[in-house]
Amino acid sequence: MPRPQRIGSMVKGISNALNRLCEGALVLFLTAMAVIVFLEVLFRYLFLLPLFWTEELARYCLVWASLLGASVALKRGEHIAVSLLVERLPKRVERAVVQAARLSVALILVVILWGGITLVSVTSLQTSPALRIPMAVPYLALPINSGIMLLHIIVALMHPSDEPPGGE
Amino acid sequence: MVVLILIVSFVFFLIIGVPIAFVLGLTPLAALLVEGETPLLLVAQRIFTGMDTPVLMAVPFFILAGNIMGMGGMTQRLVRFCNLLVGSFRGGLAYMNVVISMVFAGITGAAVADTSAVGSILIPAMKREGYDSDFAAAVTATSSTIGPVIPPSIPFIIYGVLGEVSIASLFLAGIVPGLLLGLFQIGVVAFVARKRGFPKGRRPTIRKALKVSVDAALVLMMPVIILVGIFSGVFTPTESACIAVFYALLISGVVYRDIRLKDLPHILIKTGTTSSLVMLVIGTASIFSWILASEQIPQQVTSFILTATDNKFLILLLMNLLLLVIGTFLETTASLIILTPVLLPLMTAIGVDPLHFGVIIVLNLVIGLTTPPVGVCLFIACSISQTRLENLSRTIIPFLLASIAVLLICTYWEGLIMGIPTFFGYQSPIP
Repeated sequence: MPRPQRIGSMVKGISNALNRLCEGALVLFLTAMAVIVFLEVLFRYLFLLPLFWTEELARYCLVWASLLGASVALKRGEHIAVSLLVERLPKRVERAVVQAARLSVALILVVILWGGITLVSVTSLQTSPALRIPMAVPYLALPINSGIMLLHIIVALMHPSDEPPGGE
Repeated sequence: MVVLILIVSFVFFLIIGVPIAFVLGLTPLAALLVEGETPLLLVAQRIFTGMDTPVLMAVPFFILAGNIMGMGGMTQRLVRFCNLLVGSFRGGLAYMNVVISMVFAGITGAAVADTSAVGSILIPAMKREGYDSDFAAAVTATSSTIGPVIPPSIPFIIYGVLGEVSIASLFLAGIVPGLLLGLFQIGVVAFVARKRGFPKGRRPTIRKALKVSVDAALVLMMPVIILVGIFSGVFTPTESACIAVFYALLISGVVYRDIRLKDLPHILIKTGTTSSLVMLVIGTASIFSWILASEQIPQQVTSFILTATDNKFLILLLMNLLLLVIGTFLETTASLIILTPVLLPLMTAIGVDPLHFGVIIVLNLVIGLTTPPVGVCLFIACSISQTRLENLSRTIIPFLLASIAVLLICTYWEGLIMGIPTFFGYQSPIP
């Protein structure tokens, strides 16, 4: 039976490793989006051959990049929050309020995770209009990234003295 | 009932320090839970649809172009060039701060990015030359609000999506207010420079002037490419933002050789997180606006106000006040997404063109960024210049009054805003 601290540091390790993966994927999706839109312009004006699939693919890259970026931003505590009032509270009360804020974020993430899984399974047989890829591919961005964000929040909840995610 | 839940839970989650993007999801969630009829699947569904919009690709692209510029020393070259233009006047660096924000505004579309990009270079320089740090911070924060008004502009893109207004027309409509903001700020600088006796810069030699101009020419081409591309209809705003990215890469990677391939992942991650803050807000706020629409709140607001008064002058004045206050306390994108659907029907009802209203709402919200006590740009400028917020709040007042003067001119002189877009073929939906 592993001790709670060891579970804690294990979860933290997973959260950090997943975050590095997210950063890598974020770089990939943003690059892909830029290259796709660039190709769109190139083919339309240089080769006079408008491509039919670029807009759709770039849009799905945008959704993936946005959600991946949101999860990396959460890990780095970059989300913008109003902390003016919380900071003025006594230390102990402040810590409790910060934990309550983290729990609230966890709540909405659970709803997004559940909704995302449902969307993926409901649309598993549908294909996208232009590319004919399964609609589950773009929709998967929701459950995967909300799941990872949930993990980051759980780590933060287990280490209450660390910087709050979404500080500043 | 639903309205009460929305207001209470919004204020509650905001005060306990939940990040705004999640507040915008939690608030409608609370309403959905109480109402109990709509399936909660709506939450995930709306986030996806909110983000899945082609025009919004311009958001990460414009942020990326700005980041490449900053990293690649293109901003430095721009600073040297602007120094050439206005550096030798009394208070030269202060004028420069405004002018460079206007040029920068033609490349990127976010005020906060401008404050930190221009501020981190110019505030230390101004302090070295003997400017007061509160004044350096004030002029940096104020001038950065020109960024989202002069095209291209991220707030205009978002408003265009929400209000179904042509983004190119919105960009054209932003030109005059943007220039006015710049001119009024230059006026304030001139006044303060004489009163406080700011230093004069040296006049550069012709040879140096030539070298600096040639050096900056490639950077100055950037706004030209972006804007001509959009206004001629050759590129969509998204495509022109993408072209700007590749142009910036070409210039700073191949011509100036300031950026190497291994710098790119870092720049891309920074871009990804910054733009995701806007994108996540767009996603969650579209849950919020769905609730507002299904509760018919825009119709209620419109009829409530129209029964009280139908005086266009008065309604516009009250709306400006409301928007200034909201812009001070709430993030720009979030305010736009919540308020546009609520206020636009009212504006159309009293005969304000959606294009004109777009300029009014964006002006209000960006002025809110520098309004004490909590404007975001104030905080950034404070931390760069290491001045106290109290001092900055006092010094910024004349600048704030100048911005409000521009706001009032733009609110009540419709022709000033509509002139350029109409010339380029914008047709008003208002009969």
